[in-house]
Amino acid sequence: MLIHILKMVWNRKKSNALIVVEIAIAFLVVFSLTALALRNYQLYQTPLGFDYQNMWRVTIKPSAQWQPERDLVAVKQILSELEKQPEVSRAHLLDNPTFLNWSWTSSYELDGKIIRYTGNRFDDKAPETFGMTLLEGRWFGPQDSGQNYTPVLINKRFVDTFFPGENVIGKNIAEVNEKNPQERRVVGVFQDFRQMGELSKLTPYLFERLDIDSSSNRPLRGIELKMSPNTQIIFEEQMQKIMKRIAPHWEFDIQTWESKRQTHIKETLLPITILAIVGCFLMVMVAMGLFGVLWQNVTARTQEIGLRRALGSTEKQIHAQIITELLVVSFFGVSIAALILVQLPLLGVFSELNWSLFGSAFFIALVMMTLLSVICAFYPGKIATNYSPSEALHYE
Amino acid sequence: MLYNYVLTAWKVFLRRKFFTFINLFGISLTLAVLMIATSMVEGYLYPKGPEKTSANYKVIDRLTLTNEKHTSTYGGRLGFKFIKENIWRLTSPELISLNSGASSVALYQNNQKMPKSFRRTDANYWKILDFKFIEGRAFDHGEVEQGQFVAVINQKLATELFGQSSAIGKSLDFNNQRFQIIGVTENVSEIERNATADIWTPYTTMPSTSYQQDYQGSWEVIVYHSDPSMLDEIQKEYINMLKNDLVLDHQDGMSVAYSGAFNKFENIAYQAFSDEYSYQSGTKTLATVLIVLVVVFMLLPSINMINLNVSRIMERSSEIGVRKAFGASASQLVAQFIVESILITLVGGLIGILISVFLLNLIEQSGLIAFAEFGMNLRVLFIGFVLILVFGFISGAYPALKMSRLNPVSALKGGE
Repeated sequence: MLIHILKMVWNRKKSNALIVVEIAIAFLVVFSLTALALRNYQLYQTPLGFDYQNMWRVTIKPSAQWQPERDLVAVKQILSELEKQPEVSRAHLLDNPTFLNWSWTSSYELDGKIIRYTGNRFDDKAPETFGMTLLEGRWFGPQDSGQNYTPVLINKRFVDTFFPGENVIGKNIAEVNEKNPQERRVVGVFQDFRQMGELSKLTPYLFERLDIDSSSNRPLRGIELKMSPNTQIIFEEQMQKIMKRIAPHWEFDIQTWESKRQTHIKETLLPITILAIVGCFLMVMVAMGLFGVLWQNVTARTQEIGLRRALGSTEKQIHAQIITELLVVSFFGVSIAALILVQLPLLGVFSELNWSLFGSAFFIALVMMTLLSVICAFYPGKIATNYSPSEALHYE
Repeated sequence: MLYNYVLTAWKVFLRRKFFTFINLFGISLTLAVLMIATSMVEGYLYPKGPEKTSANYKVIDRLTLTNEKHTSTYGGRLGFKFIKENIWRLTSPELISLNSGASSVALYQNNQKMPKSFRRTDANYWKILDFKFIEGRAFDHGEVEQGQFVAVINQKLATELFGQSSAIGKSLDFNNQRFQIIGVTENVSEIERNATADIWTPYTTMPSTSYQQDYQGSWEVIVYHSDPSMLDEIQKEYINMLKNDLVLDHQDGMSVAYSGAFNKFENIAYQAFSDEYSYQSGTKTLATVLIVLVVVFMLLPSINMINLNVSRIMERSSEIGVRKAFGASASQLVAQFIVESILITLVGGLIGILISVFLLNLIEQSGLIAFAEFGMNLRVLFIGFVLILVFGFISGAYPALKMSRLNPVSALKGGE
């Protein structure tokens, strides 16, 4: 049966070629959209590694270059003033804010591997307030002050990516031939800190210690506040006044983590939604196009179908034949698309597209294309069964 | 002759309404998507608000500072000191203006937070950009020099704060500073990146003057010339200055600067494709990418239509047979079918334009891009028309060729 259908599809290869191309392109579209949607769903399901409830961010916008001797005093004063407010339960320092595309990435070579990570700095007590989970070792503490090493915290992905299976606590991960070799000692491993939000890439992450008393020349960029529950937004005005009194030469931007998170999700989903709508419209168009072509073909093949009916084919067999034919054509189209698509993970074009994501996206896209083919072929197939043999053989 | 073609086409469309519908559906939605994209790009490239003078200016808003070996690099906006020591020395621009870029600021009223955007700038800014003032005026050189606390606000903010009464002379408090409102302008679309803001104040009202010592900062510069053909000269002079005559006394040993004065199209290209150690904007790459995107997007609908049209050849075989028998040449037939295909694309295109006008209205009302207005204008319509013709030609040519090759005898018999 299948061989017979293959032969028939082959005999009509010229008119089928265009359908194959159309299905191949349509499959590329469906696959891309499915992969994109699946990827974002996976990301959304991966834990953030911190709590965003009742957290506020104050970003310091200095109007001039950072002058440590003057500016560190101001930050300290702001921290202590804010902590005195009943609305504020904890105040911490964190350089790069959460839920914003504001990041610091770094890379260097170690033992022949390129270590590439996203970095950030916070103070000793910050991870507990942020609700982060420690897996091994310890957080930063006063014992790290005045040491001859730079303590760092890394996330589990950092360990899994660069040092799989190793015990990294106490390991020196500094670049070997640096000009001033300062040991960078791993003091702890935490679950995760997905700084840029639920829909952002998963990256190796590293925290450096931010000790305001021995801080370097690098400017401090932001204060994170744990607020007591139900603090009204309008408390911002009071905060602005307090901070402006201490540092009139700075501007402050205050945002809740929750609002930044909403914006992040909205901004990430908007382009995906637009793509999905355009993709759906393309699919409807392809479906109607295939439907029309098949309908036309069935009409053109009336004689052939009549002959088959006269030789004893049942209505069901005719119906199945039309549907199977389109499925075979689809199979060729999908195969061509698959040959193109398989290059993506092979060549590693998108690091995000691993084999498991590729597999599931391919499977879902395959199911969708098959369904689409069956739906498109169903009605034309039905029409074909309506021809009575004598009528069909007379048709000219 | 053409009349006959049109008449035949009309009859064919009506004969199989379902197929006509499928064709129209594909064409109109494809063109609607393309038209929406075109009109957004058009809105960016040819603004209708204060930036409508954009043919006369270029913007410098990127600066890469690095050392000889590129081991330490700063990439970002310009610092005031860099502007003062270098850009102000340019002789070819007629006007040079600087502004701080739009940054967010919070206003508090009736226990509500009002997030607003705010820009510090100079007097030239108001000469280069064509703001419509609803009341009052912009600040002038004198006020900027003296650092007077005056502000221009947009209409929306004026209504929010003062309702129907005049805003002029009222005071406005934010960032612990008090400004006197001297002007109210129209609302500016967010798509006009160099003009949009809710509040504008003289840059000299910064709480501290230490910004004047920075090579890196948040400033952007607009260079203006009343003759648009002079803008390339400005770009040349600027790059020449960066290469040969750069003043840069940077504490971290940065001695090389990359930057450029760009118009709107160059600016997107620069952001998308240029590497940081370059003076070029990469417009060719951007143009290629845009064309490829449009072609790829039109590919699927085209193939769909070609498919459909090819499969309908049989339906018209007797007509073709008769015409061939009476001496119609292949090229005449090809012409006829292409006219038919362009005709249906035109109808679909018109529907597509209506759909896109409707959707653009929705986008405007959604407030996704504040104060945006994407109207249809002649330029967008012309681009749409060209797209329609291209689309109609692509999807009509192959089926037309196939039809014209039918053997008249077998065509009359109704076979292939």
